[in-house]
Amino acid sequence: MGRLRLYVDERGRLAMNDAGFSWLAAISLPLWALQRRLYVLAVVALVVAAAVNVGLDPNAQAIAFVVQFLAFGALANRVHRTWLERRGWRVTAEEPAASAPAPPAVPER
Amino acid sequence: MPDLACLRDAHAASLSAADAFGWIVGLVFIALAAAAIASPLVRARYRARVARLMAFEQVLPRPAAWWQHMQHRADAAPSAPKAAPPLAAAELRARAAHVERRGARATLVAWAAYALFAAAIAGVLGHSGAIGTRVADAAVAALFAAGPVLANLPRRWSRHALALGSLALAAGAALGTAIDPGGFDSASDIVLGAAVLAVIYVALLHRSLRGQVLPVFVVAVVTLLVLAIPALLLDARVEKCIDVATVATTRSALVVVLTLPALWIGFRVLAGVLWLGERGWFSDVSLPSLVALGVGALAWVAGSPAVEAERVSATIAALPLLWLAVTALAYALALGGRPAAVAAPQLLMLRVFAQRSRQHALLEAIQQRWRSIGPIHQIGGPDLAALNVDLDECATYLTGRLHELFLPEAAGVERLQSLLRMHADREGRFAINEVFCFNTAWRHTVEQLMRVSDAVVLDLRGFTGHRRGTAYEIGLLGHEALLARAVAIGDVYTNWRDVESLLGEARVDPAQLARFDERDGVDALFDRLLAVAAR
Repeated sequence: MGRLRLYVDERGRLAMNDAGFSWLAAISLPLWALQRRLYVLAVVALVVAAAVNVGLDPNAQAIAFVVQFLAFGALANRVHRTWLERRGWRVTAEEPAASAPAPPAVPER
Repeated sequence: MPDLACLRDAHAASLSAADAFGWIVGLVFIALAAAAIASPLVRARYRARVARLMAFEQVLPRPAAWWQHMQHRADAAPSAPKAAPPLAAAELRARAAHVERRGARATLVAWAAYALFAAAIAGVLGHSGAIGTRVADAAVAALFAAGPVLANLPRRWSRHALALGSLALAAGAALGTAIDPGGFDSASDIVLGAAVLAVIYVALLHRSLRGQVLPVFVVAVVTLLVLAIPALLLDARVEKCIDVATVATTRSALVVVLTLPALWIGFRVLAGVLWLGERGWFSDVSLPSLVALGVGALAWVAGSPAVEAERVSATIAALPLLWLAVTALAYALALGGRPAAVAAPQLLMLRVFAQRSRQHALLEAIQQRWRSIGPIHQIGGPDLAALNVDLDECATYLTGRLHELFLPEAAGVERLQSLLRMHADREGRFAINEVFCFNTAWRHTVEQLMRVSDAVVLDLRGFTGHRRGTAYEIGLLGHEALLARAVAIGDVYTNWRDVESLLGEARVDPAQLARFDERDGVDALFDRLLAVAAR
């Protein structure tokens, strides 16, 4: 389980970034992109998925699916984080690091 | 590039009305079954996400634009008088009884309309038009509707909605089988029908599931319909246009391309439902009942002799919607106009984050009663997923934006009050405000909620000094001299010595804390809270 970070931009928009492998991106990159309001990426991923579906034979489709699954799952969150930071989004809140002591009160409430 | 003119070929085989209706019915039940199956998973994931967000620490203050956006969302809801003049306990009790009577009367009128509509359409659906058959049809429909109706009545009835509703359902099924003009159905048909109705009942009336089932169902059913209808309409024509070898590929490409727009439309429809709810058109209690009645109407029409004989006209296909509209209209007319905005006492519910259903039962009971006189505030937590039906929260979670509901830091009292929903809906039920906070926000937020509330329920069942969050709240009540507003519920597991010790540390006499034994019941607790609010 990756560490969650919440980013904010000057317009007050929020974006959650998770570290580590993304199962949603691995299974469906367009859905992952839509959830993060990356609409251009969602459309591009959809077009690519449709092209792969129509243009490749079943064996090639299976290989393409495995490659996409691993690549998108492993890279999506990292690319998202880099994209946010390059566009001037800043971390506004984050989960305590795994090594830090548990935050007081909340779990024992 | 293939010539697509063949898609417009008028001679291509088209879908019959009976097939189309059958597909729609099938998709609705598939969506409901999928929502029922997925809801425990959604709930578990929702709880895990809430628990993680509650541990967040703010590292950078939010820009003013974010607060303005939050304010804008809150401003969309109708406003209510903010200053609450103190009312006598008897007056508050009378107001609660009036709201409950009004809701019960409207519910019974809607029940009668639902049953009478079944009698009215008997002939259209291919049943005998004889008066005896019509009366029997009305009785079966009334028995089916018993569960959703009970769920919308005051607590003494609604707590038995699932059990009594299931009995009524079984009685209705037996009566329906006995009066079936086609004779007894096969055992498999009866089992299938019973399974479908049981899914409707459990999914939409189960107290701790309906909050997740409903939003997932709305998204799933709209998505499936948007996805399936163009595919069904084009399917026969596509086969004419494209050679057999590429038909399967074309179908799968069509599904891939349509899935995202279909999901988007599904979420937009859910947003529309939430928009209506925010404006008080229905409450979180009545909506699941209305949806259950709608799905029941669809099942009724789908199982009628006319549909089984494939005599489906546009009128028959529209009957479930018409049936639901008539029922909703009867309910709205019986309710009358929106109740006048009145100053309402506010209740703060502080609790240990327990998952035990016995604890939830008492809290839910007191919520149900209090919300007929005023709004309720709670610090949001993972346990509330099983207690409250909040479509907005589940929808926000499903779109991956649950973090937008969390307060990152202490808001001023005025700003916090402006974020709370203080108005009653058209049915007279006030809102339950779940205030979600990051770890950097909840202490100040609790303090402010204590100040704005007229009464505080302090649920100490199972409390020991190790519950540091609750211990902080007890100390705060003492330090801020707000004990007079609190009623503390205890059980045999409550460690009162720890409570006394915490109050001692706050230099307050522990005797000032009003204690309440959970075995004394909801009515006694309600009376105690009214007395506190009316002080």
